[in-house]
Amino acid sequence: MFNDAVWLARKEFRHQWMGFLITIIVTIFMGMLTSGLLLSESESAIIKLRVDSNSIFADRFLLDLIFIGMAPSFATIFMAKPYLSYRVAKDDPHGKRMAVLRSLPIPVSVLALSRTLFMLMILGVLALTFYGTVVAFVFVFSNSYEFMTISEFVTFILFWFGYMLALGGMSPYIEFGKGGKILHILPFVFLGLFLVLQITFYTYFGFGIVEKSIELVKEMGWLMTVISLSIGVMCSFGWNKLLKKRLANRDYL
Amino acid sequence: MQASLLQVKELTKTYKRFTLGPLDLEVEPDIVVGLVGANGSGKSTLFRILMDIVKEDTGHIKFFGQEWTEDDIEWKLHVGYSGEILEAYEFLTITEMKNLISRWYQSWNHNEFENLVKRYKIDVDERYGKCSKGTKKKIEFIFTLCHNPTLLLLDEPTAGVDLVSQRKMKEDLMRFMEDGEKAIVLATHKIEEINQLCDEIVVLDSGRITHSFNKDDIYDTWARIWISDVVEQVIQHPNVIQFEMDPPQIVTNDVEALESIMQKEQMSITHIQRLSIEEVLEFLIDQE
Repeated sequence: MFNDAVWLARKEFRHQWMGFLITIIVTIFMGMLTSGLLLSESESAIIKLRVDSNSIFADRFLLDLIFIGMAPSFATIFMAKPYLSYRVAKDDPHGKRMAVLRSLPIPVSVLALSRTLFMLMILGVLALTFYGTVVAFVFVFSNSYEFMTISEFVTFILFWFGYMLALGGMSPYIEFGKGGKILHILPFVFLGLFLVLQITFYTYFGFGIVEKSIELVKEMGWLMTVISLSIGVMCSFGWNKLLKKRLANRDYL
Repeated sequence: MQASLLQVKELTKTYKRFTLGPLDLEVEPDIVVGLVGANGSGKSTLFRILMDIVKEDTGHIKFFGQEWTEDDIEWKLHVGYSGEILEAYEFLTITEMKNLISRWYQSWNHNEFENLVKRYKIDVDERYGKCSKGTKKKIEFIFTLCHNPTLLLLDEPTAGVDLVSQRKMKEDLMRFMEDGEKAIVLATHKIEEINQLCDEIVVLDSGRITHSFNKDDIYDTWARIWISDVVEQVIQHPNVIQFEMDPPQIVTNDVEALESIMQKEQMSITHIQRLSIEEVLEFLIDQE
């Protein structure tokens, strides 16, 4: 079963290599933008935030937007046609491809697992690309970053990787379990929820969510990461079960 | 007695503006079932439900005498389906598509594939999306045959296909049926296919099976009868499908029953003409 699922996932990579390549390039730009937010004028923006919080609300907002609002999209090839064109998405290309696979003698569990593995592979590569870019800019190109040690930074990254993992499983569920239109509707819903969360958090605590996570990482260390990754793994497992159920029961055409 | 290859009972699927079923269907070995009906009558939907592409609302489907769960794949190894769904992989070449499909069938016959692509003059390096409609149909047809299936579900396999290839496809289907253990369900609008291939005909109208009969029965029972006069008793008879007054004539689906009634009523029959399948199907599809 596992070999079959891996074979399918690898096939999908070959079919979508162009979109995947473009997604990696865009992810590198997002990493550069993020490191620019973490480091400003050769000082940590986070440190600067504490000094003059009003002046860089936009930076804080952007940082939260990238980590919370956009990072879950690292679980999919977000520069593929269905994500860029509503017209393409409306035709439900994911569902139609799954219809072909459903007509073949492939167990639903293998199909669901292949999509989960594909998601994990993409998430692994894109997360590595994103954080790798951030690390490269923060630790290699700057001499003045002293806000976090390397260990704290790794803990911080793994904490947010757990978050991506928790929400990442939603991507194959939406792509293959729902119609193509949802692909374009859901980001707006998610953005709305993010705004409510971000503004509420800022109103009550006076700082950004990512900023708070850095503080927690410093206080709690690896425990934060373990909790976050555990939740991420459990959620991935749960999304896989949901996807399997949905694949067995949906109308593809 | 050999079990049915396919058994469908009380199958239903409801959409906003269309309901398929309740529908019963049984396909025995050594039988070619012709599924006919107007566009939108539910033929493709039925195939898609059978192949797990659309989920039924209610009903039971048995392949090879057994109901299967969603993770059972055994039955799909023995079914070949062609239903215009490969467009989703239009970016693949025919060879790439073959690799995607053949992996899942242990019985895939690569030599057969090579022979068939030569026979139908398919360029295997061509992208599927670049192929003409007829070529796509031929490719799908080839894919359905290469894993040595027992049951073929073919949704208008020759639509848009050139005449020479249509003949070859008919030959291949006849060859497929030679061992007497296989069966085909063939949705078609082509009368030659029904005449040359089908043993049984199932008429689907607005999602319901309205008629189901052996093809040979049509020649025995359906006829146009020219008579001396069309009387009320004849018009009201349940086996009279159509009548005309000038000249007086009726169309019946039970010529023996009508003949005896006419003898009783002392009506004279001037001429009897057996109907062709095409004419009968027109009546069956139009009358709904």
